[in-house]
Order: sequence, then structure tokens, then C-alpha cells
Amino acid sequence: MRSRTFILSIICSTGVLLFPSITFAAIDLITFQTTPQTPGPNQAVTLSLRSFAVDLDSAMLTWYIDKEVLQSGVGKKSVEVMTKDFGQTVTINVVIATSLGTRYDKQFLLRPVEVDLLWEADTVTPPFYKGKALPTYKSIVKATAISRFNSFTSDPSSSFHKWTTNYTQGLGEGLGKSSAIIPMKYSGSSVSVSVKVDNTGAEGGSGTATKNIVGVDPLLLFYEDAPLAGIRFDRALFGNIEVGGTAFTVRAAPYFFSNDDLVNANVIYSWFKDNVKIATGLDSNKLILGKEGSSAQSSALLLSLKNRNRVLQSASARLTVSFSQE
Amino acid sequence: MEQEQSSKKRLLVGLVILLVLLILGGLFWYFFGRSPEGGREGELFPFGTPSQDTERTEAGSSDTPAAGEGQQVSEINIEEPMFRQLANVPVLGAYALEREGIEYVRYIERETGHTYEVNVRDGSRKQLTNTTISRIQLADWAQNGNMVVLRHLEQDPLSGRDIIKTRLGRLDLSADSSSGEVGGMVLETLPDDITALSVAPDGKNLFYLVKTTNGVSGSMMNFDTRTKKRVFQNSFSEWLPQLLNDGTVMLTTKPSGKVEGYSYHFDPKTGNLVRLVREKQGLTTLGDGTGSRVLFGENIAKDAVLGVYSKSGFPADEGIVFYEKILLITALPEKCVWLSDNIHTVCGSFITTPSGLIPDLWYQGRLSFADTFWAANTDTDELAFLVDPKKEVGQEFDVMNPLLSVDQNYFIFTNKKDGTLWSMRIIQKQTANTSPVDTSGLSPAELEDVKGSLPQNTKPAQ
Repeated sequence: MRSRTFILSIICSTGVLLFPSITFAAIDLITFQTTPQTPGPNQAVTLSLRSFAVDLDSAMLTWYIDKEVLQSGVGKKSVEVMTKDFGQTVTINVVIATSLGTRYDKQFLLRPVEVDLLWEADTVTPPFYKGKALPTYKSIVKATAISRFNSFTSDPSSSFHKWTTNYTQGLGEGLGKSSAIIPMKYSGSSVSVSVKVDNTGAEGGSGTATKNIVGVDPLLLFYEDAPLAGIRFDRALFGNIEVGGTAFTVRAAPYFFSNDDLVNANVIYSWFKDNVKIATGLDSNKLILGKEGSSAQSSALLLSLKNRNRVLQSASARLTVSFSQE
Repeated sequence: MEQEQSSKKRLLVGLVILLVLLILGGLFWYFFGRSPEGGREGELFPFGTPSQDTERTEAGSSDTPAAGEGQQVSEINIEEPMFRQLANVPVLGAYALEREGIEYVRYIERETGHTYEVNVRDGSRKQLTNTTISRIQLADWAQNGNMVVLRHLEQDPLSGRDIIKTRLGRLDLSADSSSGEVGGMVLETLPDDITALSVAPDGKNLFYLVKTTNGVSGSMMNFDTRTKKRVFQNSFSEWLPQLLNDGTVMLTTKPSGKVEGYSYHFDPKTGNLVRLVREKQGLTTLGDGTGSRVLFGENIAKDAVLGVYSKSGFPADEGIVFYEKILLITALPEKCVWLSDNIHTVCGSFITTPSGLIPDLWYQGRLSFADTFWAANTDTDELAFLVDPKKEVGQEFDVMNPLLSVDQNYFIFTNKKDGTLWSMRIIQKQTANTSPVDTSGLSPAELEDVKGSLPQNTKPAQ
């Protein structure tokens, strides 16, 4: 019994003594950092060394780029290099001789990496609108990573993607997960989304990208819906407009309301003509105005849109249409 | 004797000094004072400015003064109006063609869908088709002006949703035009809900995008064979495509004034998606015919700035190569055209950037510009002011859908203010008197130098 206890205490003591060493052995004492984090091809990059365990400020550092000496000196912890084209690697070697006489050899393979973070909001815009659909209160935004690791095209299914929002909140991760869904907040507030992409192919490498997405308020515009020319999306109507003829159709075009709520009829149209609420029939996004008689007439229109599912998505617009005297 | 020699010496010195002064004066006059025959000095590149001798006519005039006797008339008569209204009704899509040396433009009347062809020089017009198609929203010409891709909206009767309908119209011009008969248009249906499309500059192929459950798919269609092939798929769907003649596609993200956009070059053969321009707020683009240079618009500190990207780069001092540079005019690329040399551009430019989000406000129809016209050399960054239409013809233009005539002498555009079609004559280097230029006495190098500025009908003196 006593011998077993003695042996156990020896084992425990050894474990306690060795554990820090094992732990430290698993940690890389000196790491590289690049600025920018994901340099593209033919781009200047600042490559720096960092360490919390080794005093690099007093160490003699010699930098080699593709086996040629780039710079050498005490405390020279960073260099500037250029990436090459896709398909080409820059090999950087650093020999570190500390003041205590310890030598470290580090190598870094610099390959161009491009990670672009594109996003799109699932909000409505008029047909043929060339501009971007912008995100609004609680609308859904989809972010997509387009990455290239040392080649002109990279298959996203061979890269591990890790998505976060607001720097800490996970949005999912996985091999080939090149998109993530981000819920927006209030208008005017910014939601950040980041993606870290690790290439699992032969080339290796990783890159990150971050974007801040700002929400806006929905918008409502009026356009003329002409019988022969169709909807004149190239000229918005506002203020007072004077028209000829005996009929004029006003088409309402909502911008940036959530698509699913428009499809599900959650967006309520309330039309007012000369301060009186009017019904428009099945087609709630247009109003046909008719002229009675030949004298000049005008109608003051107000349209209010409210999303009953996402209550802070609302917009209104006014227009006065005046028929000229014939 | 000595006095005589001294005065002779002084005379000789004086003569030598006089001779030197004469030579210097002659050299100075030769390099700085002489106006080369047949052109204006100080020209930086092909475009000049309106001559003060040019008779100012109201826009829309179709009078062409007859040539004087003994005077050869150049193809561009200097008295031709600077601006000509080619169509006084709203139009959709225009296509420039040349036939027997005459420049024409084909267009579609928005309200009727009828197609017309107008002579750019004299404004005379001929109706080509009388097939009535109303409520067309967009038209893109193809196949040398014999086909047109038409887009309009139809409401789904059940859901009330607007469906984008796209049809291919083939002009049937077999009618006997000499007897005044007008042709028709034969229509074929293309897929529904095409979100964006682009016809190649040579008019042979079409690239279009359709949204899918997971993003977007892009297909290529040949107008001759009508074969369609899916060539592109992406999780991101908000693309604006520009198909190039070699079958590759420039894809640019849809813009908003404060959002960073990207532009890529996609090759369907290799699947490569190469980034051209990155992270520019409000990014809009216009590639040249080959995609080697790209005009891009960017918002910098609330100014809409026009820049140019080059795939091969712009060499600078000490071996440094820049891939992007800024041109000092405010314009949107969609108000510009590239000349066939892929170096020069002509743009409708607004003088100052209005407040608000550009290009969002312009796309939404909430903002209208009053453009002046400029030309730029993207190699040398040189800019040339061409004309202010307000001063020239008392008219304001908001340039949209610009194109060049085949001979590149006319800048043709739609005025977004009212949808009418216009041409602007691009002044070339030439004299008002277009009689043959005497090039005798010029050295071969000098002859080579002035060749480009000679009017087309000018023959070197024998």
C-alpha cells in the first residue's frame, strides 16, 4: 500500500511538472501576421512576427525572401513584400537568434488570397430596377463569400467557412457553407458580418472578410402607369403634377419592404383622396383618377404602406394630380 | 589699316549675330508659331471643339446646305447641326448601322412598338414594322439590327405579382418598301422573370440571368441557332451583366451609393471568376469591347467620380504599375461610350454631383441631370470639353443608353427627361474649306504626323 502511494505520488508530480511543457510545446511561440489579412495578387503586404514568449525586440532577425536576404537587424520584426500572381508562392524564411542564444527558424508561404463578402437583402424593388435592394428593419440579408486561394477560381465546397455576426455571434459553419443568413436590426443601425474561409485543398491558406451592413427605411414612390407606354419607372412623380386627358393612373412602387410580407399580403395599402379613405379594388398598388367635365380639377393623394408583420417597415407618399382645363 | 581691320571685324561679328538671331527666330516660328495646314494646333486627340465659324442651327433642322462650286464636301458638313432630334416621341433602344456609306439608327417607338430607321445626317425617317406591341419597358437590339429583345410586365391573375416577360422580336422586312409597304415583327418567347440580360456588341449572343432557389443561374443563347446553355451559377444573385464579343461576361454587383460594389470577369469556358474592381461605393461599370479596360463610377466623399481600370495596368515612374486611375470628370459609366480604339471615351457628364445617393436617385427617377459632353483619353488622362447643349441649342439632356454611329462621328443617346432620341455630332479635326490639302514640302515624318488629321476626301499632293 505504501509503495503504491509512493508510486502514485511520483506519477502525479511528474505530470504536474511536465504538463506546462507539454502545453507550451503545443503552442506556436512565434506567429506571423499579415496586413492586409487577405492580400490579393500583386499586392503589397506587411508581414510581422509576434510572440508573447520570446523577446523579439532584442533578437537578431534575418529575413529571406525566396532564399535571398531581404533584411537583417535587431528587433526587425516586420518586412514589406509583394504577393505574386495567382498560382505563385512567395517563400519567406526568418532566422531568429535571441539574446539568450536560442535560435528559431520560421517559414511563411505567402500566396494571394481573395475573399470577397457580398450581401443582398430580400426586399422588394420595382421590376427592372438596376439599383441594389437595401435592408430594412428585420429584413433578411444573405451574405455570400467568393474566395480564391492561389487560383483564378476556387470551388467553395472545398473550403471551410465560419460565419459570425457582431464579432461574436455564430451564424453557422461548415465545408462549402459559402452563404449565411443575417437578420437585420433597426433602420440606421449597423450589423457586422464576418467570414473566415479555410481552404482544405492542396493549396491550403485562409482568408477573412468583414462587412458592416446598415439598415435603411422603406421607400414609396409614385409613377405614371400610361395605357400604351406602360409604367414610367424613369420618372418618379411627386409634389404637384399637371396632366391632360380625362384619366390618369398612378402606380405605387414600394422599395425595400420584405419580399415575403408583400407576397403574403402583410403589407397594407391605405389610399386617401382629398383626405377621404378610398378603396382600390384588387389591385391595391394603383389608383385610376378620372376627370369629370371639362374644367380643371385636382386630387390630393396620400398612400400609406404598413407591414403588419414587421411593424417598423412603413412608408407613405403624397401627390397632387391636377387635370388641366380643356 | 588697323582701324579698317577692326571695323571689318565688328561688321562681321554684327552680321554673325544677326544671322544667329534670324535662325533662332525662324526656329521659334517653326515650332511654336506655325499652324499646320488642315487642322488646329494644340489638339490633344481626335476631338476638337465647335468651330466659331460653325453656323449654329436649332436642333432638329434637317437642312443640309449645298456644297459650293469647286469645293469638295467632306462627309461631315461643317454646317450640319450639332444636335439633331432623331425621334420626337419616347423611344426604346437604338441601334446604329451603316448602309452604302450612310449612317442610320433604328429604334422602337415606346407606345406602339413600331420600329423605324432614321438617317442620322438628314433626319429622314422610314417606318420598318407596324406590328403593334404596347407597354414595352426595355428593348435591346441584336443581329445587325434585325432582331430585338423586348421586355415588358404582365400581372399574374392569381397572385397579382408582376412577371417580367421577355420576347425575341425578329424584323420581317420582306415587304416591298418601294411601294410603301411596311414590314412586321415575328415574336418568340424567352423565359419568364429574366432579371438582367446583355447582348454582345456584335449582336450574336445573349446572356441572361434568372433567379433560382439558391441564387442565380446565367445562360447563354445564340441568336442564329437559338441554342441555350447554362454557363453560370452563383449564390449571389444581384448581378448586372455585360456580355463581351469573346463570350466572356463582366458581372458587376447592383449598386447603391454607400455600398461597396465589386466587378468580375467571368469566363464560361474555364469557370474563372476574376475580380477586376473591388470595394467601391456606388460602383457602376462599362467595359470596352474586350473587357481589357473598364470605366467605373465610384462615390468618393459624396462626389460621383469616373475612373478607369486596366487589366494590363498603367505604367508609372520607377517601374510601378497602377491598375486603376481617376479621370477628372463626374459622370456615370452608363452615360459614356468607348470608341473602337478602346482608349477614348465620350460621356455625358454632370458638372457637380447632386446631394443624395447616386446612382440610386437616378435609377429611381427622382433625379435628373443636365449633362454637358466631354471626351477623355484614358491613356493620357486628357479631357476635352465638347459642348454644353444648353448654350448650343438651349436644351437640357439627361443622357441615357448612349451609343456611337458606325463611323463614330455621332454620339447617339436617349434623353431620359422625355425619352426622345438625339444625335450629337462629334467634331473631328478638319478645316471649313475641305479642298485638297497641299502636303508638298513636308518631310515623310511630318506627312505621317498630319495624315490622321486630313479630311477623308483629301489626297496628298503629287
